[in-house]
Amino acid sequence: MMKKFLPFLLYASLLIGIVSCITPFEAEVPDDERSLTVQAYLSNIVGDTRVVLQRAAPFTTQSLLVSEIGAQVWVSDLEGSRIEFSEVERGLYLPLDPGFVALQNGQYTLNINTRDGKSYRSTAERLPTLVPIEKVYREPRFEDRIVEGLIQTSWDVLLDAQDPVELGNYYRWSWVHYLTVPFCQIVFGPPFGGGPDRLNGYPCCDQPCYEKVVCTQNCLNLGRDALINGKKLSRIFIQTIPHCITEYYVEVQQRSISQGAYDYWSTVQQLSANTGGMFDVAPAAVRGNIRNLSDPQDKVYGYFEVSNVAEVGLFLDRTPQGAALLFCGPTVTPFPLGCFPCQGLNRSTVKPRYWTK
Amino acid sequence: MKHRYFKFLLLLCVLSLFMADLSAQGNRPQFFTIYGTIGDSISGEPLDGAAVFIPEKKIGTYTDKKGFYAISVPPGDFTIRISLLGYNAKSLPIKVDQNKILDAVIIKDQKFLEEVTVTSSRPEENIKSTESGVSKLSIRSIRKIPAFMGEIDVVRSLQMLPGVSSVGEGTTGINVRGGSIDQNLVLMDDAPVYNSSHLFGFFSVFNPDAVRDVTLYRGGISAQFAGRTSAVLDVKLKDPDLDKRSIYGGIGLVSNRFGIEMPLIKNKLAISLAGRGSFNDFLFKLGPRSIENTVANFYDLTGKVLFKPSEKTRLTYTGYYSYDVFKLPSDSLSSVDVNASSSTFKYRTFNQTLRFNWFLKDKTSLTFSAVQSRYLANTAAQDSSIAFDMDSGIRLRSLKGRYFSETDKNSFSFGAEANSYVITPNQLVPGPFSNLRPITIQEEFARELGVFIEDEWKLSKRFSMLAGLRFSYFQRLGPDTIFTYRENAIRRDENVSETTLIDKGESSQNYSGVEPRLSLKYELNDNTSLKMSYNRMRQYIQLISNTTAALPTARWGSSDRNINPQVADQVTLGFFKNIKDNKWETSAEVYYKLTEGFPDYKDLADLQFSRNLEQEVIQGQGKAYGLELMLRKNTGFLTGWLSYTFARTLIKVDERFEPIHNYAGAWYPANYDKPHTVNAMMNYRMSRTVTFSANFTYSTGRPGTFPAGKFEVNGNIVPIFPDRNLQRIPDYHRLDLALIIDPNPDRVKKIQGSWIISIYNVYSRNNAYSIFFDLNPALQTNSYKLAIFGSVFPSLTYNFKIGGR
Repeated sequence: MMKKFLPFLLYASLLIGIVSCITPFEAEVPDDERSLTVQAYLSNIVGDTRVVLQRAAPFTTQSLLVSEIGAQVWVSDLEGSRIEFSEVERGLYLPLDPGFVALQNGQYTLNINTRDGKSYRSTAERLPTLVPIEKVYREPRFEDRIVEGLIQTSWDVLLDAQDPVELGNYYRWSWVHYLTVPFCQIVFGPPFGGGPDRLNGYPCCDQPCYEKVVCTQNCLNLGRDALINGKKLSRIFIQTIPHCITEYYVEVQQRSISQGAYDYWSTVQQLSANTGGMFDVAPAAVRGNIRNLSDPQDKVYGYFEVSNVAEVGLFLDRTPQGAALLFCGPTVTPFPLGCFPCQGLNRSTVKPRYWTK
Repeated sequence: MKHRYFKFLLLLCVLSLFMADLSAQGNRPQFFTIYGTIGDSISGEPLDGAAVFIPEKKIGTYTDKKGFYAISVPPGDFTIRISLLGYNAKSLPIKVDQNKILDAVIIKDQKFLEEVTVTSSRPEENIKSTESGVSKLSIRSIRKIPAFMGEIDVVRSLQMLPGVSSVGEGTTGINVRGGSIDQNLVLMDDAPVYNSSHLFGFFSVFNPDAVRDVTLYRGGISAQFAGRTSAVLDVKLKDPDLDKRSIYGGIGLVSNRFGIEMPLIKNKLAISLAGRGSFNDFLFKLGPRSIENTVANFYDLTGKVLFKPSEKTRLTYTGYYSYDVFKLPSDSLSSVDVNASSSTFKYRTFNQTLRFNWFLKDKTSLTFSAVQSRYLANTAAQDSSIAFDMDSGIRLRSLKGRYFSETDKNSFSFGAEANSYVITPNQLVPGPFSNLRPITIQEEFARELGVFIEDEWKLSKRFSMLAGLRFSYFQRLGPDTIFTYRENAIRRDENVSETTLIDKGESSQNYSGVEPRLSLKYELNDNTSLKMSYNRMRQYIQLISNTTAALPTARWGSSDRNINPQVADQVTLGFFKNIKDNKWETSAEVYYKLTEGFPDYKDLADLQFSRNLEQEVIQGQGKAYGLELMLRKNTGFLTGWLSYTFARTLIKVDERFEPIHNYAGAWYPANYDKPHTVNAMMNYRMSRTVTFSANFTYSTGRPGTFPAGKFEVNGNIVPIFPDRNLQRIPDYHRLDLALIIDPNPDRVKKIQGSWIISIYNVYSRNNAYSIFFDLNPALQTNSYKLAIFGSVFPSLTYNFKIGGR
């Protein structure tokens, strides 16, 4: 609510003719923050479970978030079973058993031993009750342009679900988009021929090769039933898809999460949206559910989220009629010699779950 | 409710009989009394501090704030001489053979015309008065301060006084001696104003055409005022002219004003009506598409009726209505858990005051007033599936009575006040096709009673004392649901040990306490005095807001079993010295104030829809201290003042709140803590028709919290804030100039017009409105300064008046 008053003030100042301006400012920012940060997810669906460990960095554009490597990571459940994780990429830890999922009524604890000998543990997190998705649908979005007139530029993906009668349901919505890639390696012009702007692509050796695209910016989409308890969650906005002339496949996830996770995410959302304006609320501490076992002063930023995921796949047929002249990616010329294997963390020859065509 | 008011009236009635008896005893039959009011010949404003002198008897007095005077003399023929700096003295012969009423007006001295601008009281008032920390500005002097966008503004002009600040330009309210904006009691003709800002704080709600004068009490606060811990801003509106009709108005960039005052029965009944409106948002239509649907307008209406059935009685009715609306083309009400494409915000104030003055005899008066103040805020979205209307508000009904009697050595007053509050927290009503559930939060009912007694003793020629005592009693009434929490546990639903339901009308919690007020003055010589004052103030209702600048839609809340009243103790010491026959005034004041129950909030508190505010509010301690220095030149063609303020305001919440507050257990600066402020204000009368004025202000930048680190979550970069308000935005300074052209200073023409040319921010300083952070890799830096008033801004206003004196 607070953020919208800043634009109002800007409008008001425009109304009254004042020139408002934004100039760079050298703020004195402390630079000693190197705490462990944890992004840990466990759910009921295969492939969703992962732990990302990093170190916090000074709040500057130049500073890098360094991955925490060589840590020992495992999840324990109520029965005392221990599910080990291994580092598959710098700072990314996945379960050794790729089929490991959270079970109904299960309760899980995340444990981390870092290389510097410190031990961290999360609180025990219970898997919340599943709330099914009623439907996922799309609606075209039009824009009135000066040259082209009224044209369709994009699609909105929307979701409906029925909130259970009990109060206290918390949701986080996310999406994963898959596409088939014709080229597994793309290189600029010379020495492969053509001008410096020309793109040459090596076709994938294994066809089709599926590439996974996840949301990377402003991806938090949260909801709770405080105002609508027991009623329908309708027209929940999931994403906007540009109106290009190809098919589009997306998996939409509705995660039932705990109140603690919701509070954590909303703190994250508010803090990352805080602009330093007059109508910002006072800054808050990010309180996760992970602690250093021996040193309470050692801050850890992050949350071990255990979510019960309802998932729906959506195929979108973006027909060429009335399509806008949108930039839908560069033109790539196939390179006739050789091919590149379909590999990497986000590429696979395995067909996505709801890919029906 | 009726019973209570009846009892209250009965009490006042008994008291007034008692008083009549008292004054009868003081009557001296061999003497008669001459009394009346002295006013300005042009505006009719009562003149405070005019000397009324009888040379034959070598006795005299000064008029009080209402222009009232009274002198006791034996029978005989005398001359009454009336004088005031800046006015032509007047002598009137009078035959005294019975008590006589003598009302008079005096004419401004053309030589001095418009020079005496910075003080509306008598020049030695600062030395002679017992209270410290009281500033009075007449609308005449406010008009001389260069105005932003040419819009003369009462609240903005107060910021030129020492000890008064705000979090920034264009924000609601003022902060006085370390108080938050809701710790000021803002009164407009006795009626409290709950939001004194139009357009978020760009302008204040007081129409300058209707205002007579403004008094700010920041140190020695009289026992007749209560309910807020910091300061009292008493705005008095002009009385309509009982003699002549006039029409006045003005055309400016922001608003247009129009007013009329006319006698209905000459010398008995008169009415005034002043309106002001801003309808300039058509300018948005000329802007880019993203803002073309923005609406931002306000208007206000001020009306006053004066009925004077006799010389001894006066009845006034004041009505005030203001309306603000703004609609943003698109936004997201994320904190209401609603994603709306557009929301409309409205807020309204509707105040009424009925006031009866009865001048009994010989400087003795009784005043009764009945007040109703209403404030309503509304937020609405129209999108069908999530359409809603959200309302909040506060309503006060109040009855007050005050008895006042003055003798040569004593000014004695006592009175009583009964207030009834209904506070409506946010109520959400869904639209016809909306999926939202309605939210109804129980209204808060409360009443507050206060009785006070006050006396100013002139113990000797040099020493005087103003002592007051107030007793206040607050009762929170049902229906109410009260949670009892486990001892020392964080207040959360899961820590509730007992729930108590309170029926309608039943008392759910009482608070009471005495509020001593004391001011002492000792004059070292005729031009120098030392003053000390101590105040205790109790506050039972407060604005619930945790943003840097309060939103106009923020709700109010009252004390209950879990939220204690705020109690503030303030001590002020002052040194006052006038030089060169009161031409120059100097003063130095230091103050220290400690507030218990100072409101702070838990991290990311839900203030809009919380049914149990005690789960969101954390009460801590507030500490404020400072030094205020002032140098003022009162007379001559060049007048003005220079002031320096050192002020600190710190807040602390108990360590045990660490799990819900990011900086518990240590003192941190309040959002409006600005240690150093320098204000300079100057008026120079270049000729009879042209006055030039300038003001300069400098202050330390307000505190801010800058991130100490960052981490990544799900693609979002999250800043880490380990502390609160320990960094600062850049310092603020600005120079404004104005040229006031009044081609008709003698008021001899029937139509009088004047022009005000003002230049705001003359040297185009890019003052920081806020500092924000953005980690865009394409940019060189991570922090930016936003300046809203970042350039020079000239404006032109035309004011006119037809008729009148």
